Formats: sequence, C-alpha cells, structure tokens
Amino acid sequence: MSELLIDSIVVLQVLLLSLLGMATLYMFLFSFCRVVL
Amino acid sequence: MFYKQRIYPSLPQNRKIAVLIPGYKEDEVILEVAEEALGQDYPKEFFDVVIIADSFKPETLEQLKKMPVRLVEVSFEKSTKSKALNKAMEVLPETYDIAVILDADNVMAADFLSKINAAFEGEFIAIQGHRTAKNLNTSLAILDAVSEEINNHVFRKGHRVVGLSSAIIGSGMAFRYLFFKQLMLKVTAIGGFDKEIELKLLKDRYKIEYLDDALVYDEKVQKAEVFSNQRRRWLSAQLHYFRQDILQALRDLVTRGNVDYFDKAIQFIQPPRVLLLGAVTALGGFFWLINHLLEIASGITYLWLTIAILTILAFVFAIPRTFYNSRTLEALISLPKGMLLMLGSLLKIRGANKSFIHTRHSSVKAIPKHTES
Repeated sequence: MSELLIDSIVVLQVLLLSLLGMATLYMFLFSFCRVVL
Repeated sequence: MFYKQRIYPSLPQNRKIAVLIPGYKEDEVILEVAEEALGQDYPKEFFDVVIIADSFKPETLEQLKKMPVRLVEVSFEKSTKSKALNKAMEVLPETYDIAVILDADNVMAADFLSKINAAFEGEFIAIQGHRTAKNLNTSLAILDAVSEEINNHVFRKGHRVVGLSSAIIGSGMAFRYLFFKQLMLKVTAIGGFDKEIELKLLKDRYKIEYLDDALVYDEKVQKAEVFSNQRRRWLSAQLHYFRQDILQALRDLVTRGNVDYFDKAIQFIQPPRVLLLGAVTALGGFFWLINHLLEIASGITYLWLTIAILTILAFVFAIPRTFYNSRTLEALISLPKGMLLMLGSLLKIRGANKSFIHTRHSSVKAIPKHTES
C-alpha cells in the first residue's frame, strides 16, 4: 500500500514537473534571450 | 537576425493616419482621451482622431462634435470592438495609410504617431507599440503594471530578439490601413478579436514588429472584480484559439516551417505568469516536504528547486528596473490575492469569450514615466 502511494506521488510529481517545467523553460528562455542578445 | 530597437529614418514620408478609438459607454473618460489624442507632435493634417461611439450619452456626443475629431456613432444589438471598428472603416474614406487602434482609456506619448509612421518605412504591415501603465495608485494596479511589462519582455522584446513576431495586445497597435480593413472583415470573434487577427497574420507568415520606445499609457485595473472579469475573458479567448489552431499550426510547422504560427498556438496555453510562479513555489514547497517525510529520492526535489529558480530568474530578468522599489514591495503583499483571482478566473472561463464583457475605465491622466528593462 505504502509503495503504491509513493509511486503515485512520484508519478504525480513527474507529470506536474513536466507541465510546469515546459512553461517555465518557455518563459525563462525568452526572458534570458532578451537580456543577453 | 537579432532584433535591436529600431533606429528611425531621419526624414520619413508622412503617412495619413487614422487613430481609431472605439468606446462603449465611455462617457467618463472619452472627452479627455480625445483631447489627449490630439496632442501629437505629428503634423495635424496627416492624422485624424476617430471616436467610434457606442451607447454614449447625448451630452457627450454634443461635446465630441465640438472637438476637431471625427465622430462615428454606432449601435449594435450585441456590441463588440470588432463590429465598431468595421462600421467605422465602412464610413471612413480609404485615403488613410495607417490605422492605429487604441482603447477608450489609452493615451499616446506625444511622439507615438511619429515613431509609428517612421517604422512603416520598413516592410512591416503590423506594429505593436509599448503599452505601459498609466496609473500605479493601488497594489492591484502595480501588480497589473508589472505583469504587463513582464509580458512585454517575454512575448514582445524576447520574441523579436530571436527573430520571431511580437505578440499584439489589442490596443496601441498599428496596421497598414487597407490591409487592416480587409483583415477585419473576416473577423468573427466576440471577445479577443486581436487574437484572431494575430493568428491570421502569422498563418500567412507576416512578421509583427514591436516598438519599445513608442509608448501608449493604459489604465491598469484597480478593482478585484474588474481584474477577474478581464482575465476571465482573456483566458477564455486563448483557450478557444488554442483548440482551434493547434493542429493546423503543427501541420504548418512541419510542412512549411512556420515557427511563428506554432509558437503563437503554444503561447495560448502558457499558464498566466503569476499562476506559474504561485504553482511552482507552492507545489515545490509542498512536495519538498512530502519527499522529505516519505524519503522519496532527492533527485525529484532538486528538479522542483531548479524550476523554481528558473521561474524566479525569468521574473527578475523581465521586471523593469523602475519597478524595483518599496511600492512594488508593498504591492507584493497583494500577490497571493492576485494569484487567487487568476485561479478563480481560470476555473470560470467557460464561455467568457462568447459574450461581451466590458471593462469600464475611470481615469485618464497619465503618470509621465519611462519604463526601461
């Protein structure tokens, strides 16, 4: 039971990290480009 | 390839400009806006201020008729900005070279039209000016102003710097007149007509320019309810156009190499910046605690830390230096409220672009300032 719970939490985190990570990268890259170029 | 702020030609040809200002029940602000719009350093014979009056009071119309502006009265069963613009262009002569679109509370810097005119010496057919805050009188207005500058940085300057099109905003923008007139005839949107024309432009591979030093002062919202309604309308329009265009955009990216169109479709599902910051920090903190308690591998916690740092750095890069002061710090206290309002808007967006949600404006006087980043 606890292993299932931990696996579920990890999967949830990977999913959230993927979604938020892409949005963050998009914003960061254009912000950064503007500063350095 | 890389974008630099435009250097204007010293002796550009003077083009005839129509400054189109559609307003719906904007009696409170329109007289001052019209007065301000006339105060340009551009030759008077080369521009007309056109007030498109929808549901104005008779006394306001009388006052406007006494001013050196063109007044076009319109009335619709269901009012929209695009209908008002189309109606106005239907009755205006086709002698104009440029159409400038303003909101009913916008005030142009005195050199705005001169800069727009000079920029049209180039090949562009659409140009976005730098819309910036007029009022910084409440915490919400400061946060709204910061948010606008972040968007200017990421979606306009940041995009032009790598050769992509600037995003347009719906006001403070200029187009070649006849092109815009034809383009607007095809618009079907009730809310978010600017998104629709932007997609059409990018689909047809037109490049949209951004002028960082051509300033238009825009009223920032001061009330939570207005903020919430306005955001709800914007988010709803974005989601609608994402659904409508993503597959076509993907096809055009693969078959025609149209990066601009695909990038625009992707932009539509970017979470609001303030929500991204809130989500990354709150979820990062929460999962850091959970991972620590349940002894889950630390690698995943480091990933949370990495995206939290990247998000904060992106904000630091994007916020103009003029906002690094004690008033902004005070306004940050309202940030959680702003995040909740955005979250609320996100959860209630269904159908918000199917009806006309009007943002009422209440002040005109500009705070003279120059924003840098």
